[in-house]
Amino acid sequence: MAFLIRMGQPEMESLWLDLTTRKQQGKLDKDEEKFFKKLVKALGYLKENPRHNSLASHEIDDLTRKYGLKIFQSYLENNTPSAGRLFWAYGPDKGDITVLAIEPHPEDQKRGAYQRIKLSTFPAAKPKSHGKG
Amino acid sequence: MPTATLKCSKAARGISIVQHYDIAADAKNRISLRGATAKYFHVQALSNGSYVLQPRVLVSPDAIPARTLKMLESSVAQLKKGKASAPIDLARFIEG
Repeated sequence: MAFLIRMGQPEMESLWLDLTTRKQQGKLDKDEEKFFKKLVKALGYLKENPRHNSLASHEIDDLTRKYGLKIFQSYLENNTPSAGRLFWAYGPDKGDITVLAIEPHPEDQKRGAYQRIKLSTFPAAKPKSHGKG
Repeated sequence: MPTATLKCSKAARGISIVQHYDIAADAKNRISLRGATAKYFHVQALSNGSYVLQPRVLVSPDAIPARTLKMLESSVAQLKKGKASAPIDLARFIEG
């Protein structure tokens, strides 16, 4: 049974609209193109079989408990969590799957994102006598 | 010509030298940091032979970043109200 894939509102929906619009206009950059290809492939698997081996789908118990709704995680690339993850749930209707969120967040991939990266704080210096050799 | 520079964080502006010493690498090119207060570092080897070490902390690969979590929360809230986008059409984008 094939599922209907829906996007969570409002952020996932606008992200999908943005990606698809720019894809059709040929305005995705190289990294976005790569990411979009992986996303479409994963969504294709999700549509046909949410338990497809490539997705390594599994329920995230902590999120399920937190939101009172079964929340699953799937990988965008076979067995490679770092390549990106999809968070999804069944619903709102029978035969529907709603993609709730995606990682990496699109903001993380925008140019200049490195400027917003905070370095870990420098450890507090202990007042010691300065070593000289 | 514009150059890409990282803005100094407030913490970085207050940096002062607390130790300085000369050291020799051992037979395996290792050096020891005296009184290092971090376990993990990001190392930058510069073209002039200098090295910059920046302390790093490990983050669990399973941890969900704050922005993703925020996105998830708003989607869940809407889903609980029975709201989600219209079904998407993947056929246009699936190759082959």
